[in-house]
Amino acid sequence: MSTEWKVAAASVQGTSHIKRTQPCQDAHHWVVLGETTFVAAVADGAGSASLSEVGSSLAVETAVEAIADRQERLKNLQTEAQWLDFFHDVYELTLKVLETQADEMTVDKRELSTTLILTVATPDFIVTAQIGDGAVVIRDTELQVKGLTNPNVEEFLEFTTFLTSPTALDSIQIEFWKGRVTQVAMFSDGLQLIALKMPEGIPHAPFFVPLFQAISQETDMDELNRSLTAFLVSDRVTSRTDDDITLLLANLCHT
Amino acid sequence: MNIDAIEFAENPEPRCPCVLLLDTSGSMQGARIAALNAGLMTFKESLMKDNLAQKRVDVSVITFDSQVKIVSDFVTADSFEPPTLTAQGLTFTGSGIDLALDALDRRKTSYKDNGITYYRPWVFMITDGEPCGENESVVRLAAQKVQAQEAGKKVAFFTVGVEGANIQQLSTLFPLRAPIMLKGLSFQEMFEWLSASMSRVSQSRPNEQVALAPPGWGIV
Repeated sequence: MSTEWKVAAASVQGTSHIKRTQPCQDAHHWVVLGETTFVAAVADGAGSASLSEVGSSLAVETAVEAIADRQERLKNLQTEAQWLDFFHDVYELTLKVLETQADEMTVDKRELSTTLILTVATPDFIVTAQIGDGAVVIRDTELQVKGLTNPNVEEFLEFTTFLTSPTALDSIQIEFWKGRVTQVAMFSDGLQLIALKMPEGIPHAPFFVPLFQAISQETDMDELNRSLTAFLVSDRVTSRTDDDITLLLANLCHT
Repeated sequence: MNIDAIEFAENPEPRCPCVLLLDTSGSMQGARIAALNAGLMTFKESLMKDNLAQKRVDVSVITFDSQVKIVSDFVTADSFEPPTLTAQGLTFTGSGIDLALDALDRRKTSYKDNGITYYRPWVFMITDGEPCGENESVVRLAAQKVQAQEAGKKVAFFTVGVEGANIQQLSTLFPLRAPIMLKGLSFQEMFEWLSASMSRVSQSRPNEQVALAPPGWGIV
C-alpha cells in the first residue's frame, strides 16, 4: 500500500490590516519528506509588534527546515518525552534564528513576536506542538473530527504566548495521536472564533467537514488553494474576524 | 428568567468591556461638560464605523459627583445611546472607582455564564479636580484595588486629567499607568483615539506590560 499527501494552504491579510496598511503577519510552510512524512508550520505574527511578518515567515521556514534536517532522529522517536525534547530543540533553534535576525535589524526581539504551530504526521501517527494560540484539528479514518492542540486561552482573548516571550519554551503544548489520520487542519487564531467553540477550544465539526471533504476529493491543488483563499476573504469569514487568517489543510490518501 | 442570555444569543461575538468613568462634579459645568457630551457622541459614531467593534465594544458610563451612578449599563456600541450629562456637586472619585470595578466583575460573570469570550477590560476615568467629599481612605483603598488589578493585568485603567486636575496626586494614586493630561478640551480627539484603540484590542499581544505611545490629544 502506498500513501500520498495532498496539501492546500492560504494565509490572507485581515480586513483590519488592510485598513491600517499592516501587512499579512501570518505565514505557513510545509514539506513532505520521503513521500510519507508530512511536516508543516503555521505562525501568526503579533498584531502589536512592528516586524512580526518577518518573525512569522522566518519562523515557519526555519522550523520546517530544522525538522527536515533531523529526519534520522525522527525515526527513533517513541515516547512523548522524546517528542517534547525534539520539539524543544526545534523551537530553541528557531528562537535563536529570530534573535539573530532581530540583532541584525537592531530591534528588540519582541518586534518579531510570533506564535508557532508545528506538525509531523506519518501514516501511523501525528504529533503537534504549539506555542501560542491557533489550533490543530484532525479527522480519523472513522470520520471523527478531533481537536489536537487548542488555543489555550487564559482569561483574556488578546493575550497569548509568543516564541519570543520569556517563558515560551516552558509553555510548549504537545499532542501525540497514534493512528491513521485522513485529514489535518492547522490554523491561526483569526479562525478560532469561527472554527472552535470558545473558550473551550472544541472544534465545530460542521466547519471542518466541508473543508476535509473538499481536500479529499479535489485533485487540482492550485484550484483548491484559490477556493481556500476566496473562502477566507469572503464576507462569511470577514464578518466574524478582522484578523489575518491562515488555514492549512492536508489529506493523506491510502491507495 | 435570565434576560442576559437573549443578548448573548443574538450577538455571540467576544466582548471588549469599556467603562467610561466620568467626573460630573460642579467644576465640570459649562464648556467642559458640553465638550464631554459631544465627545461621547463622537465615541459612538467612531465605533459605528467598524462593523466588528460595534458588536464587540461593550460600553458603560458611570458618573461621579456627590453621587455615583451607572448612567448607562453595559451595551454593545451599536445599542449605546450617548447620555447628556450635567455637572453638579462634589467629587466622589473613590466611590466611582469602586462602582466601576464592581460593574466590571458583574459583567465578566455574565460573559462566563453565557459562554462569551472577552478581552481585558478598559476603564477610562476622566476628572478635572481631585477627590473631594469622601473619606480619604475610600479613595486610597479604591486606588490600591486599581493598582493590584493593573499589576495582575486584569484591567487597563486610564486616567485623564482635564485642566485643573491635580495631576501630581493622580500620579501618586495610579503609579503603574501614568495619567494623561488632556490638551485643552480635545475630548473629540480623545474619544476617536479610544474608539480606534478599542477596535484594535483584538490584536494579539504578549501577556506583559507594554508601554503605549503617548496619544496626540494629551500629555503624559
